[in-house]
Amino acid sequence: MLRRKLADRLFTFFCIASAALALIPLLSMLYTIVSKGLSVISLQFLTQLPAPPGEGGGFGNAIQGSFIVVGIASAIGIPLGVAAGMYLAEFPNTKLSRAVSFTADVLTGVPSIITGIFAYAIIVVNFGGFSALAGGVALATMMIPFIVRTTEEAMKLVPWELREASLALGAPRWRTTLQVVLSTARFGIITGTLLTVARIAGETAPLLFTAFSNRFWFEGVMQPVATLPVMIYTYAISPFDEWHAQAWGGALVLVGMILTLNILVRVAAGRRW
Amino acid sequence: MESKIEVVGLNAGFGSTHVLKNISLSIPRNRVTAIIGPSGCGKSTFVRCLNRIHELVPGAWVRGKVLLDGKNIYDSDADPVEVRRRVGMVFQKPNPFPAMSIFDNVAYGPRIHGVKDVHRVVEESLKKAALWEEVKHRLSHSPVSLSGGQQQRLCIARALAVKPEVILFDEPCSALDPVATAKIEELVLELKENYTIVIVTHNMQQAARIADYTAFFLMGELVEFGETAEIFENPRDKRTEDYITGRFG
Repeated sequence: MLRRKLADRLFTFFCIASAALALIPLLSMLYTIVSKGLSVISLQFLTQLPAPPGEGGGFGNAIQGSFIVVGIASAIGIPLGVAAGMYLAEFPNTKLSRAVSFTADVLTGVPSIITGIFAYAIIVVNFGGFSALAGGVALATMMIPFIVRTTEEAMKLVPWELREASLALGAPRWRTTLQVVLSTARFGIITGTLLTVARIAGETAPLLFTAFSNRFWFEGVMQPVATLPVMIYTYAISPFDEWHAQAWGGALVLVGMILTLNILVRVAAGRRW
Repeated sequence: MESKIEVVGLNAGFGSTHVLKNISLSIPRNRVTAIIGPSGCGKSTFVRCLNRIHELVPGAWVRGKVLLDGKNIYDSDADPVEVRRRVGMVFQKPNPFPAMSIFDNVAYGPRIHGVKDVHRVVEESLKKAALWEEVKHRLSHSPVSLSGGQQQRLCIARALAVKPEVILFDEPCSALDPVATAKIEELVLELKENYTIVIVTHNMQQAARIADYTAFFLMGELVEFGETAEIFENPRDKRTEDYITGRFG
């Protein structure tokens, strides 16, 4: 009796301690970034171009560039990923869907630097150098397998009876998929998509030799463009203390953006549309 | 009695399982025909063959003829989508589309078939399904907020909105309480004025209350078919008698 109670207590304590331990890295990382980055953040930092050491300047172009590159990646990755996921969910037993499913699994495990090399070989080499487009393609390649899976899972959760109900009304298959299955699954798809966007917004490796970087404002999709992760990397490995401080500031902005996306997902989940 | 649907030598199943064995039967126009029998006797599969929903399940197969107004719905030139519009269906579990409003649920079919005056059709259908008074002030709400019985009547309204000629009910009351069941039964009796109705039920009192004709299925075979009163009071087959007197099933 006593032993059982003791074992129960010990196990509960162990679980609580593990949970607390898991929080420590996150909290200490957030604390470090905020404490080192907050003093750097100013209107000037958020809106100005980078400047040589000792002259201030900001990360404005990197923030702009990150939005553009992630935007390009979403414009390519979301429609392709959702469409492919839809196919997997509605036609699960074809040869093609098995191949796509396997590919998506493999693709989720590909290191991001490899994805970068792929985009380099396809776009950078063939279309005149580093560009925002190449960066967007690299990030889209990373997004697609996650979006495919999340769409597939969400659509498979839609009960078969709803498809039957629609088909029994004389609705063709494609309208059933689009209007009944997709709309019922939209909540899960939107959540998964936002989380994927948050995940790729911080990727550095695929951008290093695709979007490259730039010390100026965005100059067109076929030109190199600055992004937050690459800028943080460049500033962090520089020899200047002022740049190190600015790298912390950039890190805070990036983490802030990703956290905002995650919180948006939570709020949306609470609303249950 | 003029028949609306004529089933001739119907066989159906899934993969190597033979569910329906050589069923022939004629379903009279503007009457209620009940299909009774123990679980697993093929009664659901039978009605699902009448609107070509059965074949949607992977591995399902059908052989034989189902003549709707004399034309075989399994002919190679018959369009299953058109068949399903003419032969509507109400399922065992109420299955309104949860992501659409009450209005959009009913409007879904008419919109697909290009009906112009969707509002009028929705109102008419909800009235015919005896649901209009209960939902007219919350047409934009989600159907999830409705009770089970209301959801089932919504599904009936949704089926009526595409103006079918036949309505198949697959155990429509098995998930409902007695009050909601009574309402659905009353509705079925009203609907037979204008529609041909086939209702699957495992509730024999229900069959006795609302059906003009009753078919008794056992292990995939049609044992007996005739006027409901005949089947219940004077069954020709010993197995029918055993079933309706509750000796098995």
